[in-house]
Amino acid sequence: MFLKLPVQHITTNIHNTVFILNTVILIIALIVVELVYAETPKKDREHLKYFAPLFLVIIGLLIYAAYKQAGVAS
Amino acid sequence: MSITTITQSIKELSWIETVKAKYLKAKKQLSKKYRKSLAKVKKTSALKVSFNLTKSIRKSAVSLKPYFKDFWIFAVIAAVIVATQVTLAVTTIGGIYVNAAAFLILVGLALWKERARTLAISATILPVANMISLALPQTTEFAQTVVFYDSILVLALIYRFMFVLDQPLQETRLGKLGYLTLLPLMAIIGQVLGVIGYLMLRHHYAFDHASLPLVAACVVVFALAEEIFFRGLIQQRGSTLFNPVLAAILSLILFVFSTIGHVSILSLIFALILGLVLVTTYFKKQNLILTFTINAVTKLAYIGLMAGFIFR
Repeated sequence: MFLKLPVQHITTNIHNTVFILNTVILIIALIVVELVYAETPKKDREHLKYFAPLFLVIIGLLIYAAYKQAGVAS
Repeated sequence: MSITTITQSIKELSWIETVKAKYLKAKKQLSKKYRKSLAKVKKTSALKVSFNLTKSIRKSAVSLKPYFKDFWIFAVIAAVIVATQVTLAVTTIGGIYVNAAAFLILVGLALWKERARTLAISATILPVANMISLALPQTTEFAQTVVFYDSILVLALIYRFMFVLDQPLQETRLGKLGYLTLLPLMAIIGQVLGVIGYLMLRHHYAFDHASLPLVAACVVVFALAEEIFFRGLIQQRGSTLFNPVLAAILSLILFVFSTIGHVSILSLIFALILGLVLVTTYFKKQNLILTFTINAVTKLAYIGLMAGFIFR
């Protein structure tokens, strides 16, 4: 009936893993994009805007993680 | 030259003049008409003209597409999403890694194959929604579901907007008569499905502690998010890449496996029934308002019947 995140409880361990993986995949994805488009003229890169919302979301999550970590540390 | 001949030639001359005047008048009228029609053509934007032309061409091209063209793209997208959802249901930490891998595979596919780009990038919404939900843990299952659906809705709306700018969507609006006849029919289908859902899932109601009016309002948004994502992005973008039947199957697979849970197999079976009705409706009519009506009425009927079941 409803879409689900098929996870029963989100523990701190899960939470930390998600944030570490987010950092890793964001770096990998940015490197891949850079490698693929390093030699491409600017006008042929217009479709890169499609990736922007996804990267913005992940960057947003990382900023949130940093904010939470700072909150825990202080 | 006799006088009669002169008079006759004068008459002929005047006749020629009349004909000439008539000819000029007709020419003027014709050019006026021509100018009018030219202005009319100019008024219709170049985009609309080319769109109407390409619409019929595309329609025939789609029906001629072979069933297994670009089947590997279908297989890759279906496999990574199914793997993610199943692994997350079995082992959460493992699922998170598979989810990240799915994100990278789909982004890689979008970068590598230009023709698969819009579909792959649309499918990426699901792993990203998983990431958002896992990163923002909520206290109740209802709040968790709201976060999950909201992230899908926002990203799906952004992508629909971006794709419409690049490639105008097919004209799928129905006439007044079409809506008048089809909307009540869709509502009836939705109610029947809601009753079936209630019979199958009444012991697996997930939103116990949330207020019913709030749940009822939210399920309408849930239905909107599901339709914009599964039908409006996956099935619609898929139809431009491979055969529409294959696109419908992909949309169905993604829909069914996104409802996978840790409670019961019944939710999968019901998602299969509901998904079949929704993809068939979209396949036949290409209209999101109709599928949204079925989906929203199904969910509302289910919630209404559950209210009766809970407070009995």
